[in-house]
Amino acid sequence: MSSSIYKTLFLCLVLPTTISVSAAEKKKEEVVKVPLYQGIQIGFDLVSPASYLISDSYGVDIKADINLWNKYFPTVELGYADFDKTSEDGINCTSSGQYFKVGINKALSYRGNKAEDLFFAGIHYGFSSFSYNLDNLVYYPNYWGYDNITSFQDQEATTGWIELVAGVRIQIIGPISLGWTAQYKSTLHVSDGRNSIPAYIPGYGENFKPKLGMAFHLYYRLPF
Amino acid sequence: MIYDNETLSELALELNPKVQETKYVVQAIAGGDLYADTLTLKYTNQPWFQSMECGCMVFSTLETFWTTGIIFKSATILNPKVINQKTEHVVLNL
Repeated sequence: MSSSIYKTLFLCLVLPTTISVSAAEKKKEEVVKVPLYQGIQIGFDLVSPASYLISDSYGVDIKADINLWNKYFPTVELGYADFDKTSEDGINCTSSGQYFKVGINKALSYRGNKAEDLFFAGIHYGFSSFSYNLDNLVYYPNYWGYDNITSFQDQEATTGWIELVAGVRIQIIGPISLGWTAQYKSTLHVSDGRNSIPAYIPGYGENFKPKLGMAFHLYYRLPF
Repeated sequence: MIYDNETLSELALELNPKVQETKYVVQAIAGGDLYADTLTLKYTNQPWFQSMECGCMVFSTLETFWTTGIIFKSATILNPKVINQKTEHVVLNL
């Protein structure tokens, strides 16, 4: 009986001490300040250059993000895309052009001193100015017939879109990482060509909205 | 012939996209007499590619529309942009 009273007293004395020690450790952890600049990661898109094997487009894409406090990752992305598609009706559309994206990602969770492993979400704005050609166009027939075949060359358009992204980046070895990003895209503004609505937007894809996408990047962390 | 011996409150008349003027002749019988009127539409055309699925069409903009005044006293353009078949573009006054 007396033994159990002693045990209870011991627990009553030790438990608050343990809790207060844990709280102190937590406070110590919280006061560790992560410096503002944590490095730059350069990403190379692995899929776009070979995507003509499975789709009607291909391109190159490179991006850079700056790690701030292991929390925020302002990002810039530049790319070039080429599109060549023929519809079932024989309409051929070719398009090519550059694009850029700017945005910011927020770390939802990370591991490592410099967030080497990272789970993030972000918002990006994309912009592209490009030209395209439409060939083998057949007019919709009406009472007067009109089965002429025509083409619209050198159509020019500019487009802006928004991307909501979420992704992961995992360190493979040293400064090398691999990552994928899921994208939800929607056009904000599309300036049409002289005689057409652009069928394809470099950096965005076929002109539908909303649109889902996926990107795989190989990252290299700069040594400074 | 687009309409044959029909009682109509509206007409759907397609514009010839190859030219900038289309004429239609309307004939009507009243009191045993045959009356004929010619509707003349002048317009400009813009070829337009909509999408890979919908293909290509011609949008027109009506500039003038007149009748010979036998059946229809006048014509009023309500909506000059002819980009679909649903909108009412012209009113004919008897």
